[in-house]
Amino acid sequence: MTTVEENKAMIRRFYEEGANARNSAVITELVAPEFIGHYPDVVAGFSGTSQGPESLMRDLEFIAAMVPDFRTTLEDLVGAGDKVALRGVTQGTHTGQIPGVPPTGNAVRFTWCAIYRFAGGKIAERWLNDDALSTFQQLGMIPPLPQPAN
Amino acid sequence: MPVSQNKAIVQRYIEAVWNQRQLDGIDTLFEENYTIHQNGQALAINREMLKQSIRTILSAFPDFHMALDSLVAEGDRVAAYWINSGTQTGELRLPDMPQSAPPSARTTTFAESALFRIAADKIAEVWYVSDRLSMVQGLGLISWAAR
Repeated sequence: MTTVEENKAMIRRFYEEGANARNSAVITELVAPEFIGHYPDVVAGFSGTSQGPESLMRDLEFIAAMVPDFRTTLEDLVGAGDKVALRGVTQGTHTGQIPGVPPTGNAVRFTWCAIYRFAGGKIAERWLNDDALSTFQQLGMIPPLPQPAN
Repeated sequence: MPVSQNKAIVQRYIEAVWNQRQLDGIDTLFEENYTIHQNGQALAINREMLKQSIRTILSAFPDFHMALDSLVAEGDRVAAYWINSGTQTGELRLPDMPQSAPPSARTTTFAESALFRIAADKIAEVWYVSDRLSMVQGLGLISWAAR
């Protein structure tokens, strides 16, 4: 079993050398083929879970398509046993277009928390919470104020 | 401070204060004045403000329940992940809603993550991320088609 410090080092590499550098080879190296991701229900669109490193790459491509200059900063890592919890900030400029979502040009800033579990020296599971309400409001995808139902 | 004691403080906050409605427990679990961070903003609050915000949630969701899923503790910090659920039989007013939502009788389920910093046996600082989109969608307050 990898140590807490080794697990934290994997997380730092995942974000700095993988996500921020848009290097999918690093993600493939660090993430177990049987990886399971647990997402907030609404955003996932697939019953709250996803599988495999390719699901993480799809997420990164989704963000990069809208926020091409996005960069994630890790603000705190808390590790014990086979888990590392962290809080992070992802920020950039909403200049990219995906179907149905015109770029706002906004500077966007998303704060999130995640817990990662490690097995066999790889990232095996993740529970992510990313306040999609704030995220989608900043991207102009839903109105700034949720209106009560009529 | 052993991390096991810090974990017990967070467990009591979730199980005793929230799930068993023992709001007075806040007086022993939290510093009188502390800081919460949400959506990248820091807010100075106190025990009474926390009790009031819990009462607001419980009046909208009398059956509100937190199912604790995971705790990770190291040093003076405890990270927690849990699933909230509740049936909105009371009026709900969220801070960023222009008007209150009438009772919907709908049940909503949404995940929440938090990182607690504990100093001298008291919660001194909290970073929250709550899946508010799933919450308001579950209540029918907003419609959102998954990507």
